[in-house]
Amino acid sequence: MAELRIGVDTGGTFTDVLGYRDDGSLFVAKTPSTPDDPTEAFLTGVTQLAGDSGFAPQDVAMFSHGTTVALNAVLQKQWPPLGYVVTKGYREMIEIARQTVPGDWGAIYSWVKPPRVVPLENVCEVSERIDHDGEVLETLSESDVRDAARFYKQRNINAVALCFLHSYANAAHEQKARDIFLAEHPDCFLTISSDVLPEFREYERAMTTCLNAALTPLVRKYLDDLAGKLDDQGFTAPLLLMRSSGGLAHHDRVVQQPASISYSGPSAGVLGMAWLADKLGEDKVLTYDMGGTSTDVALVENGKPLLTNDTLLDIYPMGMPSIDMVSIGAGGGSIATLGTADRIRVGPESAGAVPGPVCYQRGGTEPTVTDANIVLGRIPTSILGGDMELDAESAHDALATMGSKVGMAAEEFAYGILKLAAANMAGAVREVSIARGRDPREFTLFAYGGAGPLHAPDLAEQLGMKRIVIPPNPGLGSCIGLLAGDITESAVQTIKGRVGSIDAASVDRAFEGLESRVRTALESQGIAPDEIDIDRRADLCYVGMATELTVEVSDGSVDDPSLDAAAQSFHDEHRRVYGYDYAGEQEVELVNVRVTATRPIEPIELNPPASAGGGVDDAVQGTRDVYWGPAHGWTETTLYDRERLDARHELSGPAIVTEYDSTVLVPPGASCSVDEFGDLVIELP
Amino acid sequence: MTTTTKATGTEAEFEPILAEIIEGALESARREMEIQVERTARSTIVREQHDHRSGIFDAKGQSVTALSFASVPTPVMRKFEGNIHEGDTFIYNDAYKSDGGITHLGDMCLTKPVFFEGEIVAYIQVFGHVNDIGGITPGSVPLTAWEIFQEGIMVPPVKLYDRGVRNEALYETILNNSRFPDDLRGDIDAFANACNIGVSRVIELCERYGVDAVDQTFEILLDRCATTLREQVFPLIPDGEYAFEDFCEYVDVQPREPLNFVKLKATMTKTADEVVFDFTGTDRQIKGSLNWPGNGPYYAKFMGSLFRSFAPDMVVNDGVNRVVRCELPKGTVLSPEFPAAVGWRTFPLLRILDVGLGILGKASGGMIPAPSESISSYGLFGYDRKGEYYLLREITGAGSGARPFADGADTVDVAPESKNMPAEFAENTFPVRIERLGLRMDSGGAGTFRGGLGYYKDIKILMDGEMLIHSDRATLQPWGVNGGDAGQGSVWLLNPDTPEERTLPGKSDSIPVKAGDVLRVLSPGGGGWGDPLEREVEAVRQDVRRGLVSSEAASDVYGVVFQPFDDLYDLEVDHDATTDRRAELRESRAPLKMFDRGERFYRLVEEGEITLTTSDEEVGV
Repeated sequence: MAELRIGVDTGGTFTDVLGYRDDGSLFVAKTPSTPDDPTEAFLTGVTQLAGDSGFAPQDVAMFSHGTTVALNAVLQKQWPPLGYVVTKGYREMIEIARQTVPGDWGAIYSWVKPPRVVPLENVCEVSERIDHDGEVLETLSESDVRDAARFYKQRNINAVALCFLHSYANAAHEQKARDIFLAEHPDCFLTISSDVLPEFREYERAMTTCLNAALTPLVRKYLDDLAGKLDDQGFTAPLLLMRSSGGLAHHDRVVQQPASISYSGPSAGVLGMAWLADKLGEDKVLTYDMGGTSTDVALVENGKPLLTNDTLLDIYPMGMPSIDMVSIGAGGGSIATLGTADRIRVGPESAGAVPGPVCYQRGGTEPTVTDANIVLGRIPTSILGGDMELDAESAHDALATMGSKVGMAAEEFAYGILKLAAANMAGAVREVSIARGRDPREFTLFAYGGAGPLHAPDLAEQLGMKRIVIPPNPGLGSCIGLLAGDITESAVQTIKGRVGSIDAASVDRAFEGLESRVRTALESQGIAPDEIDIDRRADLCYVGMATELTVEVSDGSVDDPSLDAAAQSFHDEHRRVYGYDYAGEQEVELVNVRVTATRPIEPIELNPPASAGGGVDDAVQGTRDVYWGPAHGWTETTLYDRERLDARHELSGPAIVTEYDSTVLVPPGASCSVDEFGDLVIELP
Repeated sequence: MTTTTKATGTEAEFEPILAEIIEGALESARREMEIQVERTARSTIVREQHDHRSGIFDAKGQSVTALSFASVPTPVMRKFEGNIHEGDTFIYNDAYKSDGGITHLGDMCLTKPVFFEGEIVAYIQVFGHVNDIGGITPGSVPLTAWEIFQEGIMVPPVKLYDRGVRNEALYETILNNSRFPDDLRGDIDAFANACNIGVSRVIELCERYGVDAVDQTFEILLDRCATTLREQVFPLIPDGEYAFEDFCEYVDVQPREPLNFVKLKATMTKTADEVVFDFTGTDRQIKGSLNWPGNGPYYAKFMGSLFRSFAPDMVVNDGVNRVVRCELPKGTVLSPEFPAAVGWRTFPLLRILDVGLGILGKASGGMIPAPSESISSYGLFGYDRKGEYYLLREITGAGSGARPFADGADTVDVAPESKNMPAEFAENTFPVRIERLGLRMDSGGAGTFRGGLGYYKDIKILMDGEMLIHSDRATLQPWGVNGGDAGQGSVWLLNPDTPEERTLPGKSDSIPVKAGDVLRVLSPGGGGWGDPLEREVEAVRQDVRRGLVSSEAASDVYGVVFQPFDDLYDLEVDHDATTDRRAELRESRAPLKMFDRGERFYRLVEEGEITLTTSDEEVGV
């Protein structure tokens, strides 16, 4: 019997389920999400899929899951009372954070400090001190630790983060404190910083530790529930979770690092595009996911997403690795506004689903991006297979009213709004590309999500990009990513010193330590040692810089030549990203070492899509007048049904290709072809 | 390298939208430059303190992007007229040859023209406060200088790159003047490369939309700033004349001056179409380095930024000069004459913000944030264990002033996005140990909304060396508004809680320190806003429970009394006693002031040290 791998992506509105059978066939199920208990929609979708495809529970080889439980908990500030134990003298460190006022000049007058993750009354100090070399300056006060444990126990605080100064250099005090603490308060979820992120800079490490502790009870409950229910239904397959890093991990491992699944869903989406890029041989890809309220963009090079170790989770810094993604508040629901001196703005405010765009007729009165699309004829007045009717006339009125204030007709104004929305998104793309030393013009745009395909040509035009790829079922991008992921485990360790004077043997030991750590973590998930690939990297900077660049480090034991090679890679990377380097002129400092262990999962290979059997003309559904900008005006545009397009079909713009949950634009002058996998490839003039 | 592709912009685009798109691209280019600077610069003042700015200017030298305390390209344009070529990059830091844009030598400024089809269409400029450019003290901002010549190398506007080729002799000479040449090199290169980014972005815009569209947008943006001020901001301020004055401290600093407090005064005359700031009444320039060599257009931009609280979306650019004007008598601390020392113009710069707040407070009946003193700095220098010369410099934040709608924030810095120095970074890099990193209890001015708390930081020094302290508001506290109390001033202690404890001067260039000494930094709290007896009882309870306010202050200042307690965690309010206490305090106290500068201030007024020509009681129109 063929095996089935199932990806389940829980989104805000729908839960998508994708089954992949190892003969190359694919099954899809979609069910409304159940935010109060996401396991319900998970099981409903899986049951539906099993019903459709006739599988028994034991045929399922693997569940791979993208979830928003962690992210939602942080965004909604929903976590149980949290405690925080810190080195004596640093009680208020989290209150101070980095003494930063976010925003622009003058923000100090308006910015109000938000509540911290841990209220100050829940912070306990412990006498102990270790220095930056790992030397113990003051021994751990065991009685302070016991007092802290009792303090939390008495107050029924059962999630606690513990972060001592310089614990990355010597974890002994944290480990000993953990043992003492848990002996006193055994039911507590205690996270120690040297387990989560042994990296220097105390505030960032403490925040990552706190978030991890805060999320533990909630994520553990959710995953235990889910695993239990799957078990009850006779499923024996392992449950894997997509992490922010784009790697998968077993659910019982994730429970130890719940903060690592914060960007589970969006990362799966990028990974899906990475899989597609690899399949199509596209080595420079920009992924573009646009939904109703937000847009995420990321870079994929040679089939691999770029990673970062420095992200924000809501307003909190998070040091765990994640796909380097930029997210902005631009979506179909983004509202257009007029300010003083005829200033026109689109977003970041969104009309959301309620009241929604004007054309939804649910009470929305402010024109949105979706209203602009309908007024221009870009989207049909009937969507979701006829389940929803849109009112073009009210959208037209709203745009005409606002447009008249700046002397523009409704369609001109609508067209301008879309240009402006694209310009905003182009800013996000510049952040992940140009600011990383990449030229977007050399990249192919992979558009997915509900609104990505509709806005891709505008965005590409803004950035001077020429090529767009739109996969089949663009709304299912995240699910494909879930099936395409490998199991990974990463670890970092700060070890500071100048290349040339740092002891290579100590660097080697640091790598060894990390490698054994990540191997153990994978082996504990039932993976054999010989199935594991190891990747080693180092963060380096010029002496005096505070921002590091990450470069690969060769295999084998670390010696002076390999450190020199890493320093040379750093010079090269500095030149690539910033345009110059100081090779041979300034000293290079090692800051962190990093190891990632990967257990590859058998890649998925899909069968070519079934042929609809007709010519390209058979896919034509009719024509509609569409406004393509002042240069073209209202132009009769051919409408195609994507279901009926076959591989090697070609069509030219102006055209619109529609499918169940998305609309693809082919502007005048552009051509569009269907590749052998059913992807639409648009070439702009 | 630059390209000269033909413009492909089409007339088909729409003006209002196009202006938005180009504005977005310009602001995004500015941010991109600034991000590059922060990632690559070495100076902690640039990197952590964000004391740098990138700007894009039109061909006439008018800034079209958001600015705060920014430079201008006009000195280069004037001096090199007819001799500016593609690939040129200019450098200068001479505060007296900068048209008021660069106001102390630490700010190294790079300027690059943008050529399109053979014509200059714009200028790009990046400046930042570098680590060290020589002069009489490490870090190059000596308090004790009495001439600008003592403050470091003074570079007039000159070409660092001539048609893309660096002038190595000049480059080497500039670097040679720094105690930390590698750092200075890293900084100058960071600025130069950021300029290149700006040039590329403007060229791309010209290629895409045509140079006319870009030029037209520049004008729209300038006009928009002026229009926003005139139509959105000015109607919110009653016409009239409002004056306010505040002071910088100059106590026990060399070179001596007969005055201990330097007055900054401004009178704002507001009509429907124009705002004029007249700085008459400001003290004459002094011998020490607290002079700020700006000029009218520069101060207009600076004061104009204050109006952003009325229009948060407004991009303040050179358009502000169309509706805001500044008048300066000659030879004051705000208009010093060459060769007055200028290194610590930072103090009047911060104080002018407070003068502006005071003026707006008078115009609005106190609906302004209370001030703070959120830039103080200390430095440690000497030789570390490896025998390498080092300079540790940190800017410590302070509590921000309370607002009519919220408490001030604790230990923040007025420069947005700036950062403190992590203890683990400091200990890895310098011979110090950070023994305490906390908040200073009771430092925030009491009020219906409380001022933010200042820093409480203990730094143990591990090697013999020297220390410098550059701070203000040690004597004169950040004032309270509309019945709120003043925040506590700054205090610097050496070896606190020991028999050797001594209070250090708030301004000093050289204090010898030995291994084992501890420096305690207590930075100012923000001013309070509104009557403290009106503060919500629950807010006072939380403050006490969290150790931010003492139970004594709760009772004496806020009139909040608690039930007996063993553990602060379980603190409960005694409501009856609180009602009585508040009534009692209300009876016995002096009338509340619109501005309360703290007891010490009014004593100095009585003693004749300070002359106040405007009223603190006056509540505006």
